[in-house]
Amino acid sequence: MSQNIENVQLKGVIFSPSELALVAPDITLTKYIKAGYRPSLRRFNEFKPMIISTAGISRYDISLLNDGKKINELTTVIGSSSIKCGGTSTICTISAGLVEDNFEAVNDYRMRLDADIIVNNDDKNEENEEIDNILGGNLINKNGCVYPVIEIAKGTTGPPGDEEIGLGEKLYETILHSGLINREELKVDVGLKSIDENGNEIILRGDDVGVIKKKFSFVIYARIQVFGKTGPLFDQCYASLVKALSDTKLPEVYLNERESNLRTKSGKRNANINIQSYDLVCDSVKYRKLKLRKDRICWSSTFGIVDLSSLNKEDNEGDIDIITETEEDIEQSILLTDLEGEAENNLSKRISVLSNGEGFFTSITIEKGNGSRITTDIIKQALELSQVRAKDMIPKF
Amino acid sequence: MSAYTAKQNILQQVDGSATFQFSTTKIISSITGPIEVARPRNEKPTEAFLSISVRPSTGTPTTREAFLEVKLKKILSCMINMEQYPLSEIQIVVQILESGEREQFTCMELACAVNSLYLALLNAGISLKASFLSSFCASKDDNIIVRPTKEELDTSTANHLSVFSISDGKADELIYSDSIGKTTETELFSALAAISSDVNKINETVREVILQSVVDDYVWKF
Amino acid sequence: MNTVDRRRRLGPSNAIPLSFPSVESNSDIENTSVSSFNEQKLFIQLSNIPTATGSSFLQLGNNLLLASVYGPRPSFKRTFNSKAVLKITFHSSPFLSSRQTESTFNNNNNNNNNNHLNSDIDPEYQIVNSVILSTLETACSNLILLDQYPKSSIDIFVNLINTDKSTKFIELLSLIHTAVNLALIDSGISVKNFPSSIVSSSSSSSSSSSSSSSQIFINSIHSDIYDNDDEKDLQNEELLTFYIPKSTNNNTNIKSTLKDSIDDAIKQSRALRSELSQFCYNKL
Repeated sequence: MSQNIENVQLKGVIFSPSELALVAPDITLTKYIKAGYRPSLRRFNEFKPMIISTAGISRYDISLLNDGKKINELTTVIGSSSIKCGGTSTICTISAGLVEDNFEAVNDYRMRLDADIIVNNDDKNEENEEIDNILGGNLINKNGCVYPVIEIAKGTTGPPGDEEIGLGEKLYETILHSGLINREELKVDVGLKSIDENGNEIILRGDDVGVIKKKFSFVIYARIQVFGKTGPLFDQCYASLVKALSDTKLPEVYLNERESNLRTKSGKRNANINIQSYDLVCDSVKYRKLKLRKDRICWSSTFGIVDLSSLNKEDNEGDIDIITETEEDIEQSILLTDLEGEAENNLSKRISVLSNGEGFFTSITIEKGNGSRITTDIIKQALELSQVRAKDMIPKF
Repeated sequence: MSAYTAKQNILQQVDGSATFQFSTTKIISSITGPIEVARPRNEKPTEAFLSISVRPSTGTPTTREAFLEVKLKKILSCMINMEQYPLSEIQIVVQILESGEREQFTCMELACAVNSLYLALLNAGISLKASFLSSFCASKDDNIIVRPTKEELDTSTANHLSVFSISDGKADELIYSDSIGKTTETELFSALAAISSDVNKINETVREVILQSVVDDYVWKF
Repeated sequence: MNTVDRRRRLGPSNAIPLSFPSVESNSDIENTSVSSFNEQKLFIQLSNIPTATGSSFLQLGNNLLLASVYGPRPSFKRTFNSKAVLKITFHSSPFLSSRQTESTFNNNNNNNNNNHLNSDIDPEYQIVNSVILSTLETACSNLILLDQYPKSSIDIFVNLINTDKSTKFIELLSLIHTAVNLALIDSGISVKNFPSSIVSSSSSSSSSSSSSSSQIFINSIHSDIYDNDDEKDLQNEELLTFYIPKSTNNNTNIKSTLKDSIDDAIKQSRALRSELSQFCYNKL
């Protein structure tokens, strides 16, 4: 057997560039980076152009069909956006629901435990304080949130995977904590629809309506569909969500008079009051725009970091070309913007920044991954670059 | 600043286990592995497969826990020597005993889970690239509160969580950092500095805990 | 049963969906102006999803559709398949649910729209998922040369992004089929011939009074036999699938009108096909 081993010859295998990109994406990436370019032929800090527009498919968008109607009655979509970035397109649609205040949270058993309401159920008169307590103190009480569901078209069916859940959760978390939406803005001013002496329909509001004691808020749902994924998607999903939210129009809500006299057992102990019996109806035409906090509108940039020195060593082992400057051991980290393609998508060393372009950030995530040490310089560089990008892109919303 | 306690080697049926507690947040985690891969499609030829599951203190796991799993996977997969366990699986279970924070926050649970997992991984004898510990802080009106209470977290404008590797008993490299809420560059760096010095403090206690459990093991053996 | 969706964050479970009363005014004007469904301009974009083998985006008025074809991909099923396995999925936006009978997003709480609103929807406008899926499956399995792809699977996805109240179900159905046809052409998967689908209303026939009820949808290809005479050549059409909605007033001479209306539909279908094939040819 030992003779056989001596006879074994090692032959060099030559791959064409496209084959090598498939077999060893990381080696291809290093070769590109050394040449000063990326596989997409962009420069290291060159962003990808992104086309942002409203999709024009919400209820209030003037119908393309010239049928004498101003609204598309079929859909409950109240805001939409469409984003195209390279080969990836994103469609975001916003819809809403109504929920009784101080009910949204109480209903969740886990939150009831957290807020200790199950234990201290006796002090009923401190209602406002309790709402504060349930909704999570000052911050959370002030900030509204969005419930996003992400769907990435991969050509398979099934429930959302880890990536989709991760994206959805991160969107939820950043929108909530950034305070993009003022919670007050989501409160519903419930009117009462009635008929006056002359037989005309009128809508009563505020003090005229004595019956309505309960307060309602909008809950905002978002559905984001992504087609043709080529890299990390958070930047695009965030952009499409913000664009759709800035397009969102909330309908006016009123109570049908006929139903408003319905008595239900109120009080906090009976958490299962059937609020459907109130028959809340939205006005089919009237709406108000959802206002966003302008200074909290951010732009998200995800950077990948390539370490050249560590990749150099790998290159020496399975190499085809002759490398000239291997002796130099320069610790060099290169920041790549808008990752694209398999090789760049595999980079686990990342910095993701949401910047408003004016020195504020609403989310910064740093992952060291399998790279070398993350330096202060590279963080600063990423923050600065994200600001530049944010300044460019935020006016496009 | 809240107190913290830790204990290793709690469960008998798994390879490694530990609890970690930050005042109101308490987490127990267990490690089983390296074992044979349960599902063939998860098998990786060059490295270990991490199966992480996070169980909430009440109810069934939701997207919130799934997101925690994703974050833990990112942190752990670069701290464990994954190449040492090819074709095998390391099962990691994180049970939140007391959440100690609102549903909208995750930093307390994540920091606590990272610390308890570090102890559990040591206990299981899984090869690690470095020691690592985590802590968190909240910022409010230019003040940084390290390891805030639930109420302090509620009223804060931003919260930061970081994981540092430990070398020579000192916080060394930044492994993972997550900041949410309105913040600035200077705030981020002062938060990172505050967390790294807090990690140094936690490390002193954690070292004693590890030493103690090693001593206990020896008494049992001889 | 635990109804909490663990994979999606759907918000508070007690939220009630928005319900909009319909606008009564202008409804008469609307009915008269939408007769020209087939005359509206159709916007087509092909290959808009680079990760899919073939894809098409269609817009006609307020109707937005996206079809994508993935495959043929190797199928790792244990059993041996001598021909490709075809899987078709139809998704419509959950926020459009007020017109649907079977919802694919039952677990989505945005969807439990008040059912009493659904009951008074005109059956002509009701979107029936089962009809969409069964016609698509018949059409595609007749169209694609599945024998050429053993041990593989082909997945077709149709996304209904938006539609409106004035589009009839049968018109939507033909749009869906057109989208899938174009996506298949774009994918380069072997098909028998260039397909085209059309809704034809036989208003040209004698019974002009019941023009609205005698609509027919066909999806067809030209067969292998050709005839120089245009009229005779109508015989050489191969129907992939067709759909006739349940008519409210039962015509007694339905059999004789059926042949006429199919001939009529084939003529229109061929006109559309020549335009579509010209369009695809120009894209090459």
